[in-house]
Amino acid sequence: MREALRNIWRRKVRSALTIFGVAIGVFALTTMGSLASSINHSINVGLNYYGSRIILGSQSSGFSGIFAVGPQVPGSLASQASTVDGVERAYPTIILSANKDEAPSFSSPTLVLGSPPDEAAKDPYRLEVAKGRRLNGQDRGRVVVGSKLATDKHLSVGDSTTILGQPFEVVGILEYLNSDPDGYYVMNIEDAKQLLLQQSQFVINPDLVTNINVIPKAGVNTTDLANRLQGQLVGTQATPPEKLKAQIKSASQVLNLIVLGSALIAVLVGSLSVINTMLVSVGERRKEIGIKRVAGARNRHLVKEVVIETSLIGLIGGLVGFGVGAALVTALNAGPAKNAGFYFALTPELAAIAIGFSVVLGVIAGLYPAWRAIRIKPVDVLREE
Amino acid sequence: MAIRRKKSTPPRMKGKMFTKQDEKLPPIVELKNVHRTYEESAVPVKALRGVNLTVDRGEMVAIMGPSGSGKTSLLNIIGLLDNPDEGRVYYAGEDLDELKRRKIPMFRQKEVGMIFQQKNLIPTLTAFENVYMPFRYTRGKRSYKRQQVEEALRLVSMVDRKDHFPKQLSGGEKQRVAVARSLVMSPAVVLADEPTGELDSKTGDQVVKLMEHLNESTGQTFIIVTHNELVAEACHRVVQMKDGQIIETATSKKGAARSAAKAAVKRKQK
Repeated sequence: MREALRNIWRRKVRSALTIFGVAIGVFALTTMGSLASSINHSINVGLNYYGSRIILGSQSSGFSGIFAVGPQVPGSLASQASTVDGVERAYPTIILSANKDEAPSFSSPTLVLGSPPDEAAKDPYRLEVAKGRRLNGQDRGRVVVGSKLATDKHLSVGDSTTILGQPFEVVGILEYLNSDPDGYYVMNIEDAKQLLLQQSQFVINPDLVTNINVIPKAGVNTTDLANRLQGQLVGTQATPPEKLKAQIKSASQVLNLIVLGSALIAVLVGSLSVINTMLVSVGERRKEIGIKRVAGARNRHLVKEVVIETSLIGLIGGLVGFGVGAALVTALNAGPAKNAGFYFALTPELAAIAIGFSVVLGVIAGLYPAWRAIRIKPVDVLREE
Repeated sequence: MAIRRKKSTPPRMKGKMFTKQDEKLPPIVELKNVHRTYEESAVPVKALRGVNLTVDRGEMVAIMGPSGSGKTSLLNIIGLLDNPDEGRVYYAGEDLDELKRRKIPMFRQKEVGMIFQQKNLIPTLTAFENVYMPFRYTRGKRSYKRQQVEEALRLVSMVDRKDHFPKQLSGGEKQRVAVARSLVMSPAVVLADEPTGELDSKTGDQVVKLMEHLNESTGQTFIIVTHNELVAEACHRVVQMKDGQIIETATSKKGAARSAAKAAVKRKQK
């Protein structure tokens, strides 16, 4: 170990550049990985929320499932859906953008989520309140605010706020989820209906809602139930949890692939620089290897020495890359990222993966140079100048 | 075939050139009709052509000859760094052909010490660590190993400089460290390839005296490839090589004295 450290120190610039190469890769893995962790966390919240219900929307609107906003289906559809075999209950939901002029950003748009408070409270997976209280059926002109919105707009329980020109009293703040609901105004569906009508340029059916949340009975096959709903309620599209999950996952998979893939490529490039450095190093140390052979070193000893050195380079690069990456994402989380509406989830698992991966790549990167080292014959090198 | 070090390595014999025990044991190194041809180049080079050589225990032998005469090739074969194409090599009566390939490093480590020209120390290791190196590849108590290294450094008067790195040592000091490393495992045979080749005459002389002293004090066998007449004078026997063959073997005054001691032991036995 001591000799390996001295060998790394022996060629300071070369070692530093190699470590830098690994560090860049691990830095990318750390930052991109924490972004991906954040996305995955957000996805899991979505999976939990939508995994417990069937979303009933309009077949003709072109939008369905989790991406629907605005008026889509009549609210009376909820009572019809409740009569279908296998349905425990159903209630309407209105989703609309809370800020028409909102600029595109990494974060989800600020939305108004209107539903009957007493129904939503009974959901298997519901949005929990961190401060204040939940809405009840009698609440009008009152709102529960997502945690990010509360922070951004400096809202506390008891404050007044204006949503789409209408005043509302804040009665609760949702717990922080690092997901879409952090940007929600949750209100009574009757209030949301008023906002929807007020925002529409054309006269629309006042009964229209965005979709119907159908909560299935326990043990019911949700795909079969979705088919039954679609069959019995003409013109509707019922999206079962499996399809909703697939929608959520497909939206995230490509992003995850790009984010993590680019980081992994960076780490692999870093490991190639380790191989290159070690090959040069082994070439320079031919005579030393010959001397070690004469002193009794066997193949396993030489392989061990080379691999220890490369794994140390990997470890140092990993620690440096992770350290810098962690410092950066911590700083970003405190300021710019927060303002831009996204968050880096720096988890212990990610730390273990980033550093462990750099060490494992270091070990792998050492194998070929080690193989070259054991092929050196002392008789060929001992008289070399 | 297991070769036990205790069987082939003579005990330390301070100040004695020859003992009764030496007479009973076979020669430490014996080469019979050894041939070696290098095929790597376009024209095959016949480095050794039927070399026969016997080296007794405790003997100090110089191998001399012009460049390309086969001295180093011979040393490499004796040191198990290379194999002959033809012929036999015996160590303490054991045929090395019968030694399994995987046992060669272990055998070389325990039975043969090697000293080369300059640049044969690992620059990232201190003098102590360089001498300790053969022990890195063996099992055993660390305290014992460290004690052996201290002893070897003491023999070459380098204890005070043990924590210095090679770049902090002079040429002569480096070579003394190399000598200590070759001795640390108490090998039966020490092979030296032009040990004074890159040293000035004064430092070279010191190294020669050191090897002479070690040969006399430890009874280890020294086989030295050299161009240096001073080295040859310090040896019991000088083997002259040319074109891959031994053309002459001469016994020095010192060798003659050794032979006389050997004859005296034989007479006593009768």
